[in-house]
Amino acid sequence: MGKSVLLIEDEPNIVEAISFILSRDGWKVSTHANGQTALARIMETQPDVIILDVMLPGASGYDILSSLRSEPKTRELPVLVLTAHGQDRNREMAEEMGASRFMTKPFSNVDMLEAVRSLVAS
Amino acid sequence: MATLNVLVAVCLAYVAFLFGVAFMAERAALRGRVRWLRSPVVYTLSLSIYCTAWTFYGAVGYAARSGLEYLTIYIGPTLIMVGWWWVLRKMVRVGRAQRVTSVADLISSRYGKSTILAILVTTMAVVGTTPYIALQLQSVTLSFAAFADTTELGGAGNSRWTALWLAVGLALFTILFGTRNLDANERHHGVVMAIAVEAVVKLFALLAVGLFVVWGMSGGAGAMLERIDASDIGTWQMQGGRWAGLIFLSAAAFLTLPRMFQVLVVENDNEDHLRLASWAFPTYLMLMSLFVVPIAVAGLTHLPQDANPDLFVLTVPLSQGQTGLAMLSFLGGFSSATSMVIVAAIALSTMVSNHIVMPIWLRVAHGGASMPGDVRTLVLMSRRVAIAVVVLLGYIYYRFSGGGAALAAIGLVAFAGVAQFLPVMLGGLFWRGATRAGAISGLVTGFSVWTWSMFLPSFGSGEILPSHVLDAGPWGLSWLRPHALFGIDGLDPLVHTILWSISLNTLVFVLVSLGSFPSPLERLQGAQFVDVFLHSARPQSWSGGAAQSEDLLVMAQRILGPAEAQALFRRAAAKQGLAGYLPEPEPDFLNELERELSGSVGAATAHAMVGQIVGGASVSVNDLMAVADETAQIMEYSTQLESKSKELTRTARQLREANEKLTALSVQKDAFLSQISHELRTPMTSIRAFSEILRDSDDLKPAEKARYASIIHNEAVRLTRLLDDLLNLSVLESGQINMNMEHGTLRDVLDHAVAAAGGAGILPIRRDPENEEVGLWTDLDRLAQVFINLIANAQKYCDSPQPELRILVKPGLGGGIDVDVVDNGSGIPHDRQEMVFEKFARVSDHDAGGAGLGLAICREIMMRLGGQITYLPGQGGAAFRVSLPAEALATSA
Amino acid sequence: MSGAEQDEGGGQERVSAFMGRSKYPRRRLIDAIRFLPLLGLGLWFLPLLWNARADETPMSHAILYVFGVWLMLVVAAGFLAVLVARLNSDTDDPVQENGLTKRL
Repeated sequence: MGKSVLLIEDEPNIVEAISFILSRDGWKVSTHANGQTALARIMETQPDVIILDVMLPGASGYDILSSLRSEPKTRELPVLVLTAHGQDRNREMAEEMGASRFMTKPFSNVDMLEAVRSLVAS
Repeated sequence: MATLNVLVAVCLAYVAFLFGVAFMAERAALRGRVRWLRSPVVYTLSLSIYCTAWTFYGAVGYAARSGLEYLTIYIGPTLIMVGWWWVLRKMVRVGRAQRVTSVADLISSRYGKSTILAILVTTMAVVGTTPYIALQLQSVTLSFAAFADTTELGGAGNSRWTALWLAVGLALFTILFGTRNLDANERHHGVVMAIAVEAVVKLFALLAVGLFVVWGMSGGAGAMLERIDASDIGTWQMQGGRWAGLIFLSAAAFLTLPRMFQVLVVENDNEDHLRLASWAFPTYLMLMSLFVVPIAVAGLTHLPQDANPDLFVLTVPLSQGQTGLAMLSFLGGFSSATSMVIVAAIALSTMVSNHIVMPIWLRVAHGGASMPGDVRTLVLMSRRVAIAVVVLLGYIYYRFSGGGAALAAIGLVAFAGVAQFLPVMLGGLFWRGATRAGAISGLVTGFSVWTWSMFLPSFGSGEILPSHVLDAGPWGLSWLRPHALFGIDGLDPLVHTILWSISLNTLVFVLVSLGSFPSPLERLQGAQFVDVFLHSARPQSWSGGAAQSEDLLVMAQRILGPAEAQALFRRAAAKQGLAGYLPEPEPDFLNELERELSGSVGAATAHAMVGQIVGGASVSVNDLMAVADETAQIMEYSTQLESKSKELTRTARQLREANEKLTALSVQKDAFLSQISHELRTPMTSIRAFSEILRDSDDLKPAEKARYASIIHNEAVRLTRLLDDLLNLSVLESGQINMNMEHGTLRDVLDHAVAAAGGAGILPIRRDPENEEVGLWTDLDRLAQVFINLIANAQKYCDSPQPELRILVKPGLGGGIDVDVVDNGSGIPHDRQEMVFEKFARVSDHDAGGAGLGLAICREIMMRLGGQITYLPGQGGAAFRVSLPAEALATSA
Repeated sequence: MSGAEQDEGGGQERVSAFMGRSKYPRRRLIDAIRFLPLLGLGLWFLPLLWNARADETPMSHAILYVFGVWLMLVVAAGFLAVLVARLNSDTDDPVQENGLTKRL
């Protein structure tokens, strides 16, 4: 398949785990750990899917998401929002902001893989 | 010769004893034993400075010349004391409420804190007291000479030296004990104790001579009375005018003499002391005057015609060969003289420095009261110089008047002089309509009449006033003859002066008061004085605003001393609900400050000093409105309302602050759940993901397997640590912990903490090894935990390009030690400082891997160890102070 | 400061027109203290009338009279001062005051 994923997440162990799962499935995974420079990175790499953590140094995942949605070029870009805050209002907020999918940590590896796959398929 | 030497020796020993008494009293006062020093008995005895050498020697002379007329001098004060409820009680209350420091202060304060009036009264008091001091010097000199005569020694030249030495000695004593420190209350424990002792000595001496005369020489009381009837003064002959006039005069002088005011009002510690004094002091006076006539009669019958009756107290026992008794009597006279001079000099020096030197200094010193320099030194110096000058003036008067006039005559001159304050004083205490203009005019009038008709002629005909002026009046104006003003001839000169001076004084005072309009400040002070029993003490409201609390503090420190001034400001701040900061210059605070200052420098000066700093109008619109409303009840009511509404505002502000804090805390509690969820889920995510990888992937290389297992392990450890922290904190908070007390040194604890936090490699740490050698007896592990958390925090949050941590050890409050942990980063923003010790309070949104529990744990640990941890603002970085109590320090480690 | 202390005399008289019955003896006591100096003044001015007498008054009489008046004044003042102190401490004690009011 060779589709590309950009993983924006600052916790190194989680980055390693997700990278491992997706690479084995044949995804091209690039990673980024800083919220502030994430937008530039997205424009530069033009990924097919983005996995976005909410608690990021520099800027929150929600900020990045709303910037993406206001830009015509990235309005349709599939974004999977990941958060360690598992409350309902986090999910509502993410959906309002235009998240394509929402997952809470910890997640099952299978679910994660399926979620990313479904985002590209649709 | 031998007697004279013994006399000098006894004299010196007695003076040394008085020094000792005064010194011990000062020491006792320092140790806080004021209660005993300030008993009503001491107060009553201190009033006895009314009985000077004039009383001791002069009364007998007076009786020998004019029969019972001498009693008037004691009857006046007796009536005032017995009727204390009329005037004294009010005077003492006003004096305490307004922190009055002298007669001049009382009068100036009442009439709108007028500087002119203060200077006027001070000048008059100095002029009126000088002859009196001269009188004391003269009496001691004469009594010395009396001893010298019997031993065929002495003479005029000698007596001058006696007077001079005496003056110098008295000035020294007064400077030593009267200006030791600048007490805000103007209280002199040592001096008061010394004069109380002298009071006992002089009463004892006079009684001893009297008993000797009655029972030793005359054969008992009955025989004595017969002898009296048979003597030259054996019948009751009294001029009604003099009897009434002198009673009035002595009563007036009792209230207005600067030295009496000093002991009655200024040194008064408790209004209730008046109760005992009201009957005990008249008893003292009665005993002092009881044996005067017998001694006079004994002198008249046993001594030669030319013997000086003023010295009978001394010469009668001497003539009977009773040298010991004469010596005692001499000490009594000496006590009378010295105590009067000492207190008079203190009272006058306070007036001179407060009302003449300070106002001049204030005017001369540009930039005013907030200029650098110690005002206290200035005040003390000016008082010392003033004491020397006052005593010197007395000496000069003594030399001038030639020591010739009878003692009683000089005393009466002084009495009549200070009695001129009476109308203004009583008017000020009882009549709200009395004005400053009236007071000044009345005083000037009365004093002029006194000077012209009594003071100047007292030097003797031809000394200052040429004899033709005395006989025919100046420029031939016979109605201005000093002893026959307005052509009224034939009156007794004393009655003449009292009559004219007091009545003209009162008349002018009343008329000018009626015709002039008082300033608002005068009216406010008038109400404060006249209705002192209705009002709480609020002399005059300051309108704050422009006042700078810091300037006020700087000024107050220089007058009250740093410790007292800071305590005053702290109290005021606490009262305003601003504990820890400088108080707002609210009117209440300014009034209190002014009252405190006026204790040291007088009301007018204090007002001027505060005025210079506060700036602007000295009377606010509120004051004007308060004055416009003449009824005291309404003023009182509005005062209460005002303070109530102020209190409400303050309470509301405190509630608002508390509410804000509670809201912030509840937001934090909300955040707690979210936080804990985040903190737990993050490591769990890694654990779950990698454990699934290990479970589901069979093709992993051994190195990969090992790596993923170790990640799982590390994250599990991280989880455990987090849970430990939480449990730790909850145990600490609930207080159910066992302290593991151990001996150790602070250095070991810090070494352990630095090592446990990863050593100095991550973050260079500057230590203070010498001061760290402190033995501890505490739970060393928990203490180390505090430092570990602090160091770890600095490692995480210090944002300096070259981060560095300093650990400083200094002595703390109450014998404990303070350990300051200071980094060189940007510190904690002001609005977060209050929150840093709360759970999950992170200083920034930046996630540096901590759960935000470290400082909360530190706070709890320190609380359990009996110390505390605080954030120190303004240290150029994040700075925490760990304070260990004295109990946690052990000498033997 | 001291001015803010509770006043125990003239002040209350003007603040409220109505006072407890227990205040009544206290006020009369204060009247007595106020009267005392006037009495003393009168008695001590009396000897001036002796001047008009035909035969001269011996000094011993005058002395005994003047000091007699003095002694009387001192004793009376002492007595009143003790009474005032006692009444003051009474009114400080509310229980005592209530008891007094009830009894009256």
